[in-house]
Parts: sequence; C-alpha cells; structure tokens
Amino acid sequence: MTDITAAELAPRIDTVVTAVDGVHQAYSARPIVARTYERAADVDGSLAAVHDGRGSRDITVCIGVTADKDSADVAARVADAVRAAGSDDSVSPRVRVRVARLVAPAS
Amino acid sequence: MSENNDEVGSSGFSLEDLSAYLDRGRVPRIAAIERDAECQAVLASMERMGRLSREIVDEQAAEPLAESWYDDIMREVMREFRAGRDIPLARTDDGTEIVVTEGALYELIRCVGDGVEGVIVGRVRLDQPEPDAPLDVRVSISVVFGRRMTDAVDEMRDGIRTAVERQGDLRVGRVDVTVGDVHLEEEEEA
Repeated sequence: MTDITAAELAPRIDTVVTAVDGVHQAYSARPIVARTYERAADVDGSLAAVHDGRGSRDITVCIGVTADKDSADVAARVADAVRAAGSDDSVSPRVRVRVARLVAPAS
Repeated sequence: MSENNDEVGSSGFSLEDLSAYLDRGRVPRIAAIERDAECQAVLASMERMGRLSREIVDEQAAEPLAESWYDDIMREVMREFRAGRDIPLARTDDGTEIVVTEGALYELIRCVGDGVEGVIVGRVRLDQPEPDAPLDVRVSISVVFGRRMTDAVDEMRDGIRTAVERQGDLRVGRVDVTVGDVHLEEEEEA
C-alpha cells in the first residue's frame, strides 16, 4: 500500500531530478496518451511517469545528460534521488532511468 | 500542428513545425515541444545546422557541397533522433534499470563531430549485432578543403570511441569514418 499518491509524488520527483549534477534537462517520460492529452489541453503535467500496480510502484524518468559525464553514473544518482523523494512511502519502487539525450557541454 | 506523417518521434510535431517554432524564437512557449526529448534534440541540431549554413552556404557557391545538403542532413538527423531502441547502460545492485536511447547516442556522435575542426557530420549509423555486443559505428563526414583527411578521420574515430565508452558499460567495436565530401571555408571563398 502506498502512502503517497502517484500524483503527489511525480512533481516531487521532477524537482529532485533536475537538481542532480550532470542532468541537462528532464523530459516527459509519460505515456503517449497522457502527452497527447496534455498537448491538446495545453497543460503542463508532470514529467516523471509514476505507475501504481498491485502492491508495487514503477517510476520512469527521462533525462538529458551533459556529454562529458558518464551518463550511467548520473542516471544512478538520479535513481537515488528518485528513491529519496519517496522515502516516506512504505513501498519501494522499481525505478527506470532513460537517458534520451547526450548533450554537448556549454562552451 | 502539421498533419503530415513527417512526425518527430511521437511528439505530434513535424520538422516544419519545429522549424517554424525556432524561427519564432520559441515564443509563445509550447510545453509539448520543450518537454519532449526528441523535439529538443532536433531543435538543437537545427540551431547548429543553421549556424553552419549561415557560415558556409550563404557565403559560397553550392559546390562542392550539394545544394540540398542542409535538407539531406536534417532528414538524417530526423531519422537518427527518433529515439529508437533502448540500450542497457549499466547494471545496478538495487534493480534500477538504466538505459540510453539510440537517438541519444546519435546525438553524442554528432557532438563529437562538432568538436573536430573542419568536419561536418553527414550520416551516422549504429549497429549492435547481438545484445551486449560492442557497438559498431559508421560515419560519413565532409572535411574542409586543406585539412589533412587522415587527421580528421583519426580525430573523429578516437573521439567517438572515447565519448561512447565513457557511458556506463557501453563498448565500441568498429568505427568506420568515410570522407564523402569536401567543403570550403567562408574566407577561402571571399
């Protein structure tokens, strides 16, 4: 049983992800249907995808990483931050970090 | 929004939509574009190519680069930046799944080319014959007239290998760099 709803947790995650060193930007990881709805309704939903199943929670975040960093290292720290964002929850989530861009460092 | 099928990933926007958005200075802000990784990658590439086209194409005759080189490269970029499959990047003890998209690797390789003097990256191909096998990379480039081609190719090859192998568990197999074009610098034309 989760103590924090998906809708409550997702914005928390968005905040902590972009604060991780090496993260260039966070992007929408939500399903295409949700993104299509948001585009049509012109609303900014959360970027993180938080999906609750039976007794489990799956969290996916999508990030861009500065290309001079090890994106696996950055992604691992993002995953730690995601877990910490929901640390007051009783369910330990499955976390997926998708590196969608490797971006040239600012010159 | 365009209704043609020239869609960038699953964003619902076409190359023309993004080009128009860029021309407008990204104003008014369209959240669906700003929050979409593939749109952002294509926009970044458009900005780079826009700078290059101003520096090169507007200042010189079409030869030796083909007149349609901008369109050709943007078509390649579009194809490449479709996210493609997810490639495992690292294994973790806590079960976290960390993946990188093929599109991100294409962008990384283009970044390498941007950092090599006198090189414009044309086509990029990635191939991984088996899961967990090293990635094979094929790149075609244009080299500025007067630059020793072998130096440019070596720099590209080393840069690609270093950049990709910096990323988690990824390993690179073959790196084939082909010089498919030669271009002139602006001042050489003046």
